[in-house]
Amino acid sequence: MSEQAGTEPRAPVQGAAAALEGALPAGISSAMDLRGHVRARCDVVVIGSGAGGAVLAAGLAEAGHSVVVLEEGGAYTKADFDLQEATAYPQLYQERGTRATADMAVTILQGRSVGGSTTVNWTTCYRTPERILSHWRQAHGLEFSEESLRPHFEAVERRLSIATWPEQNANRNNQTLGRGARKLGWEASPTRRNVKGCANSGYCGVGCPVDGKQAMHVTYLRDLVAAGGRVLADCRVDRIALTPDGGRARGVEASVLDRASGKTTGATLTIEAKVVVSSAGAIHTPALLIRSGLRDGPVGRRTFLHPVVGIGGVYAERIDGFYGAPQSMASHQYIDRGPDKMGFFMEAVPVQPMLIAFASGQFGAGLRGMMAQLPHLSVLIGLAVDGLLPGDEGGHIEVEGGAGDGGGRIRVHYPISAALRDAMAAMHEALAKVQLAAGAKSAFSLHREPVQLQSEADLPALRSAPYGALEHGIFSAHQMGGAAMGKDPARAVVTPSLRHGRVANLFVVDGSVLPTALGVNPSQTIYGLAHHARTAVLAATREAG
Amino acid sequence: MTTPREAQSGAPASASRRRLLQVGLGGAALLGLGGLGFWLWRPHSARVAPSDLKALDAGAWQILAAVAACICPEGKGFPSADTIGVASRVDALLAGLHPTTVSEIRQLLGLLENPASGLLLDGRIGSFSGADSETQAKILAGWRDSDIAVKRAGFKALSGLCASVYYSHPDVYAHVGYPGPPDYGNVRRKEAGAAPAAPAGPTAVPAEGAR
Ligand SMILES: Cc1cc2nc3c(=O)[nH]c(=O)nc-3n(C[C@H](O)[C@H](O)[C@H](O)COP(=O)(O)OP(=O)(O)OC[C@H]3O[C@@H](n4cnc5c(N)ncnc54)[C@H](O)[C@@H]3O)c2cc1C
Repeated sequence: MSEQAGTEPRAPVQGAAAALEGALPAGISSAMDLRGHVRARCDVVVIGSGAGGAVLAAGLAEAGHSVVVLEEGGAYTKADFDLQEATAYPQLYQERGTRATADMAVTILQGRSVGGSTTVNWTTCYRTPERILSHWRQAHGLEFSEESLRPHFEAVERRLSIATWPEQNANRNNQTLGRGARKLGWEASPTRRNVKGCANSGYCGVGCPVDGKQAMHVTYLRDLVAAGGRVLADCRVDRIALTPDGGRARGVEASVLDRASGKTTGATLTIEAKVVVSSAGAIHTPALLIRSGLRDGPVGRRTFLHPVVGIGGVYAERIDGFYGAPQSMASHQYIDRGPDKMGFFMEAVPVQPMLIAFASGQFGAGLRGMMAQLPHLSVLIGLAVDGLLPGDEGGHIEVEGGAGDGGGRIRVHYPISAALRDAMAAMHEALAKVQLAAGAKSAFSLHREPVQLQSEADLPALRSAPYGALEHGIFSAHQMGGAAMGKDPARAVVTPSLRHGRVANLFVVDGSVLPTALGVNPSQTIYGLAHHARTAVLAATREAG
Repeated sequence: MTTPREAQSGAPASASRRRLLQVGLGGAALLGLGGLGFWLWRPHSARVAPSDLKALDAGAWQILAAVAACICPEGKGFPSADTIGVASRVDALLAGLHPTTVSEIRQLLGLLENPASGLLLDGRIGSFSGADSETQAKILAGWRDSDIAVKRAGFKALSGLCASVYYSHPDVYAHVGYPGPPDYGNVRRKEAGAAPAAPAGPTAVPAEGAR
């Protein structure tokens, strides 16, 4: 199995390729060379090559099944990563890095390439906390426990070299978080990261230049290919094809995309499969289900974002937050703020020019003045844990009508609840305190007109500032939900084994199955759940003959 | 049709909080005004649009270039947005977005430029691109702080695009004290021609990370 971390090549499974009809290239390749209409058949077709899709697909291929992974983004290696934000965001992110909620209030960072969001994520790894599992047991009828998930987490931790990043390696931006929090008497700890031979460059978000990050394209997708599986990039699944009675999935219909223009080339694909898996991520999986006519249950509902706000600190000394692992310290001091309050946790971000200029929301001379201090800036963030409070339904996904290239546009709607507004105010205050306690000369918010603080005496100005949509920057790098797992078909789209409630040979294996946000960075939960889902998907594949 | 309703963002925290008009139908009608602007007015601009635009037409490009100059002004040694080519780079970026999004951006630019909508919405006389830079900055700040959601969202979209493109350009790095990304020798980037001069490289890098 793939869990034995290491690079020894695995013998390809004989017969896997033979089951494929049609002309799909081997290994990881681009669909852009395909012409006309291509038909192929395989055991399992997986839509999306990110955290969920890759972990699942590797296991299926290693068990001897023919597996094809279709990915709408491009296929890249470290040689393609020039570490320029101007290259990376258009190349490796959804909507060329411009994704946002329909009202423009929340900026959404989400990956789009072979490896999915793992190719650009910041490597912070946590097992799903017991407090979340216990909430899921009580409120969502899910029987997961730390014990039942342990083997899955251990397996992915081995394969992805997940380990604590020593605190002495933290860059100065993360050190401000650790130092400030502890000065205040708050908890702060080093994070665990999925890295091996990390150069501590700080460029996780634009594609790791040394393959130190154990992202999917250098780990599980390699295992998949070694076992005879295929990844076809630049290939967007438009629809899951169903039998006339809608009871089974027949396969998928896909379009080939021109990588440079993003437009369809005209070539199309039909892949027939015994089992179809949607791993297109929260936002795209619900959209795909809706487009395929699978509107069962709460599909597209309860989308959670871990909404993020930030506070900058200006330091006399250099911080150089553009360099060094972007997230290596975290504080969960306020993860539980009481029964009727939304909790939050605090982390750091890469202080690189595009990200910071965009996040500030300033313009003109004000923006220029702020940017001129870049080497002396620390930027820390708070992430609100949405979806736990009764009545917190988060956001929803809409697929607009419309033909033409790409069909209807996908829209994310995310109303800011009163509880979130309260959490955003609390996050601002906590982060400002951390910056000031860590020794910042001043701290500032990302409000339309930034609130400036020289000391805690200025906190009242922050408290009375407005909180909500388009009042200050709000961001999301963690999209969750939209096709929740659960026991009750009325409240869930997939079962606890991640099988679709009505279509027996359809699975959803990605962040969209999460019934709530997690209160920790989500990648490892998704890896673990995908590992857990291998058993059920294997059984379904065998069942289908 | 243009019933103002509470922003999707839920109830205001206090009764005194101003209301944001939602982007719904009201927004669509406003954007329609922007569309009209293109028929009636040509942008007042000395800038000549390039002939190889990918998403915008020449008029929209000219308005965008004026917006870019205001978001990222020349001065204190910083290069101008025109030198960086912000409007054309945004145009190239837009070409990869959903056509509906592109047409919304185009309409937004029209709404900003159109003297009729300017008079109606901002109480100002004259086009955006024809105004002096001080007035332009006031107009943009007015959009940012507007009670009309489509204007506030529009400011965010336009300023975000311009600021992102400008500050991610290697010619701006030195001015913000960013040495640029280090060279790990793994990249075909030299041919791309966009690389900064050899940067200082990250500080305090452990040779082999944690292991
Ligand atoms: C900048 C950034 C930083 C992050 N940092 C961290 C971190 O430090 N720690 C952490 O735990 N998490 C982090 N995350 C989040 C984490 O990476 C994601 O939660 C996780 O990768 C989601 O897994 P997924 O399988 O749901 O989707 P993804 O990994 O996003 O994969 C989905 C894939 O499906 C593809 N796809 C979508 N639609 C289609 C279609 N129709 N046809 C074909 N392919 C399609 C997409 O292009 C994408 O490649 C970060 C995310 C970002 C964007």
